[in-house]
Amino acid sequence: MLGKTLREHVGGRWAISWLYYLINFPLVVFNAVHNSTNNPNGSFSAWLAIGLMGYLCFGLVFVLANFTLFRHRRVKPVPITWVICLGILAGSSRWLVVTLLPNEWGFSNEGPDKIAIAVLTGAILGGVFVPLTALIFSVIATYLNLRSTLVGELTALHRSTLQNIEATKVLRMAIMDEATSQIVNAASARALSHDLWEDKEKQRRLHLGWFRILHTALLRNPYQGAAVSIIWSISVIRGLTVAIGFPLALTQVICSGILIFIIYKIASRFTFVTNRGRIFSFCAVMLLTVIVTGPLASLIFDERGIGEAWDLILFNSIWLPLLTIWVSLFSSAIRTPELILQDLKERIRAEEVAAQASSDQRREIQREVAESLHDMASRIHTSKSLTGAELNIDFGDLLDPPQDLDSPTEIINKTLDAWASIMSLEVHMDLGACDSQGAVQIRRVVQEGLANSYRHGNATSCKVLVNFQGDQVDVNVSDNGVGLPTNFTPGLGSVILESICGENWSLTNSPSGGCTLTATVSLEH
Amino acid sequence: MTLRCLVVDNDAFSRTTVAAALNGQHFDVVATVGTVPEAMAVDATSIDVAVLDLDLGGGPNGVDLAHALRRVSPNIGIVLLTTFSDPRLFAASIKELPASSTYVVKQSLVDIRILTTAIEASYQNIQSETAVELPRIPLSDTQIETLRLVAYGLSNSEIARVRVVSQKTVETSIKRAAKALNIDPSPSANQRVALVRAFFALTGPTLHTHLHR
Repeated sequence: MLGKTLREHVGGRWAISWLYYLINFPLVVFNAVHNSTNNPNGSFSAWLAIGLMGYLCFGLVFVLANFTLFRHRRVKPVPITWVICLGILAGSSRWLVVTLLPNEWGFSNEGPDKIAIAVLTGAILGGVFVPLTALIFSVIATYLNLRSTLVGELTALHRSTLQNIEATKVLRMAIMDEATSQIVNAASARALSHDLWEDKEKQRRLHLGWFRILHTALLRNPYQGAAVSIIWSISVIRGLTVAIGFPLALTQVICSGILIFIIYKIASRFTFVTNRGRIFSFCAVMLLTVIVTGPLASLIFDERGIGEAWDLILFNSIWLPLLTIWVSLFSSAIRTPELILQDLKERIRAEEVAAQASSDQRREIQREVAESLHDMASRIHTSKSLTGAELNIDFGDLLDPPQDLDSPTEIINKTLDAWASIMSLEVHMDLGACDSQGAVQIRRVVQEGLANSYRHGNATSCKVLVNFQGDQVDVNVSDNGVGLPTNFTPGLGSVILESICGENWSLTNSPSGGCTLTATVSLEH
Repeated sequence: MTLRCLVVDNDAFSRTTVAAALNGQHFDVVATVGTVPEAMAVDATSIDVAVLDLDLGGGPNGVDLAHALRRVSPNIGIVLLTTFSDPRLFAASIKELPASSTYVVKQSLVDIRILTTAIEASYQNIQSETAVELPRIPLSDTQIETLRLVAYGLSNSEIARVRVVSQKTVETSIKRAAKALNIDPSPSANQRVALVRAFFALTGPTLHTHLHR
């Protein structure tokens, strides 16, 4: 996957220029110091100016390229050959500037052959470094794009899992609450289901830090011995050629390169278990390389001795670790994103499984809730029918066994007799054509009235009037008790009266004291 | 002395069993009746102690009858023998029990001596005006009333309407009642049903005939 995007995305990027500036600036300064101390002509500032001009020359090429060749780099990838050519151009022009200018200004007297070597070296360096840097940045950019896509995908999955878990929790709670009947009508059931479907999940973003890629780049990187030694060789050969001559310099570079390669090869064979071990080995290898290419190489190949060759030793000691890190980053930019992306994909798979599991669970709970809601709805319906007059279902029938054997008068008298034994009753009853079913209702109203009078009113005598009115019966129970308390609250009796009479009943204080229950029992069934 | 007793229970099996047991325990059961008019027809002055069921079918209940008997004969001992673990379970608001009456829950009668002791105590303490000691279940009046309506089959909104409170209050009341009765919410059981079962366990098996009174 990365191989393809690598080919597609290699192209000019601003980053190439600024990376170049970043890495090369210390070298420009170093070169200025080196030249001003080794060469009697020209001050430090003059050499620095020359170095900076070359430096700017290199950069200028890229700035121009960014506006011309690489203008459409975000839309269309720039071919790698262009980048190589540009690198060659930039490198050679830079080296041309820094070797030609001192000659022109009389600071040094290098022949055309040396200038040609310098330009060639610059061209090689530019042609190698620039595309490699472009590759690194392309890989990193591609990786970041892919990574953010994958992280986005993972986050979405994770969120949906959490959402499912959250919803499951809510549903569970809903079932609990359902037991205590929080849903009383269709509206509240709808409200609940609305809550369930509402996205309550907070925005959560998975954290995948930058440290991870740096960590992997530095610690999990198998050292690229060959790359380091080759690149180093090219970069160092020029300096050595000036100091000790080309044949000796070439020998030193080849020998040092082989040694570095061997060191890295051996180091990469180690299996380091802990991070600390990796850091230690990295530092050790780095130090060893610096010694091999710096002081050791100078002792062997450089005839001038350490005292005179210190600048080259220093140069190698700074440049080489930098180069190593750079190569490490390059190789890890290709390797570690693959690992991290692989890791992300595995996590995505795990999340998918989790999301699936939680959504299965949610479906199950939803079925449970659906059933409960169904039961609830029917219960609401039933209780409404039982207590409300609208559906005209007689609640009494459900609780009172039918009393077919007794006549309407007997049914009512049974209750009246019971009360008459403990309080004095005056009864005027006209049941007319009222049937047993109506009588049961009337009996219950009378019972409510008398019980209320005796228990709450402390009444000793009551007057019961029952008047048949054709399709309805008026019931009136008045007593000589204490009357209704001011803080009267309706109780169960009210429900019973309402289930029988609907709205057609009232309990009021009589002007003569005591209270009066007036109710109308409808005889229509 | 031999105490003269009146046994009033609308359940024939219950009243004859109690009467027989008391006769075997040196009590003189003067009358065994099933209704209020029959009980009031008995000469109250010839009775020392009345053993009354709280539930006497339609019409006045045991407490109403007890008050009526006291009115006729102020020194009569009153024993209420009932299945209701708490008198508040029987009705939303029954009259206060007459002074010095004794309340005996039928389910607790593992020995006839419990009943005989209660009868003797209710007669001996008649002058002492001691407050009636009633069994109390750990539920408030509100919770009992709400549970009764739940058992009655009402929905929360209906209960709220009847009790003139908010639906939220009803829910809270039910939740607290469930907690007091150790009925934990569980996804595998319907809490409302569990509550009603617990309610009937406390009221005894006869409540269904009283719900509508």
